[in-house]
Amino acid sequence: MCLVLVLALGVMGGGVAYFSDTTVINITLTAGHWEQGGSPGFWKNWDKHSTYTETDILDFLDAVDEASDWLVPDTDNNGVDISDMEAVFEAGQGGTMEQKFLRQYLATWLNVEAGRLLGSTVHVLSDCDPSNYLGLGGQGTLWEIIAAIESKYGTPPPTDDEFEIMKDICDALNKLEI
Amino acid sequence: MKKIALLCLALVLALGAMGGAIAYFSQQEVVAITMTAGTPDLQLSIDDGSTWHNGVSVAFPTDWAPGDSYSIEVWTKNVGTSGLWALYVTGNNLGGTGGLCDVINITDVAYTDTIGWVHPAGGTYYDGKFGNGLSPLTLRELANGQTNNQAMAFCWGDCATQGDYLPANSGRIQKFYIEFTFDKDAGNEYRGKTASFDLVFLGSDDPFTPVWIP
Repeated sequence: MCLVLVLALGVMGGGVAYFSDTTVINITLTAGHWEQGGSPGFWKNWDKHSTYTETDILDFLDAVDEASDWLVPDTDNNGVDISDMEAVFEAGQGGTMEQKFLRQYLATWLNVEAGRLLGSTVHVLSDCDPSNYLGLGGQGTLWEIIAAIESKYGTPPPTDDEFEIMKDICDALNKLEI
Repeated sequence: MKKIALLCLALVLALGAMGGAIAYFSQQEVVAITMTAGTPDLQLSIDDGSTWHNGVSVAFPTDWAPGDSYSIEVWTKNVGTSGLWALYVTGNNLGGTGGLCDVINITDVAYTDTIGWVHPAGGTYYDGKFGNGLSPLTLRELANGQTNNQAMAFCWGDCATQGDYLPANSGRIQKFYIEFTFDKDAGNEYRGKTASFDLVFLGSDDPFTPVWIP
């Protein structure tokens, strides 16, 4: 009799079968194209945090020097290097309005090269540039803003008020405020 | 004497022919019983019970940035005719690009019990039950749960005396909550990347030893 029971259980699968049912939720998560920005202080202290290597910084500076007329001033005539970057950041603290502008503008460029700001993002400029000095009609992509700033290089040089407008725009870009 | 012996033999043979026993009058009544096994049918809702499904897809917002969190509340019920003792939740079918699943962490898990919502160990209890057993619990570890035979397990009350967690015939709705957080230190290399997986809900009447009792 026991043998029959054992055989029967064996035919049933050798164990107790439990009821069950399954259903699923298929979930998809997609990362956006976020921006991080970065202040002149962030870039001035590049060697205090491990975000970028010296090689990274030099590559960024070479690219900025290639693309911009304003930047990067080769203060010691030995090619653009990190000391030139630090000179721009230090001069912009309490210096002329042009130096303050260049301090913010260099940070903007470094943010672009490092991918911390995206050239295609549209920014509203009406608060920073109510007189439409850059000629963008109140808004433009970052690439358009940079092109407009580059167009101001040369003679006649911008006035202090005009440098301040460009400084404020770059400051707001670096802080992700616009 | 011979005649008597022959008579006895004949009597024995006659009784044998009658079946070897005394026959009594009797009546037999038969009740026809049909036994049909019940069937569980687990369904879920992600819109607070407005609609119920046997499977559904969810896409979180596509502008997700480091530090952002998104959560989902899943309601479950058993519309079948056989109760389910426990609910197991795990992951399966991991897909995606760029290793995004390694920088998305499960930062809170909760379920409903007799006392209401329960967040075991502040919602991080299951960090130790998946993958390497360390915090944080990553999406990759959760999504490989079915492959690694790892799951969260939920039951009703003390798992012994209060019956099915998901009774038959929609007898009770049980809720599950999970929160995903994009690691705040994730770098730019994760921009535009995707991760997908199946969040698997398995209802079973297989009893288990509770791993967490609130």
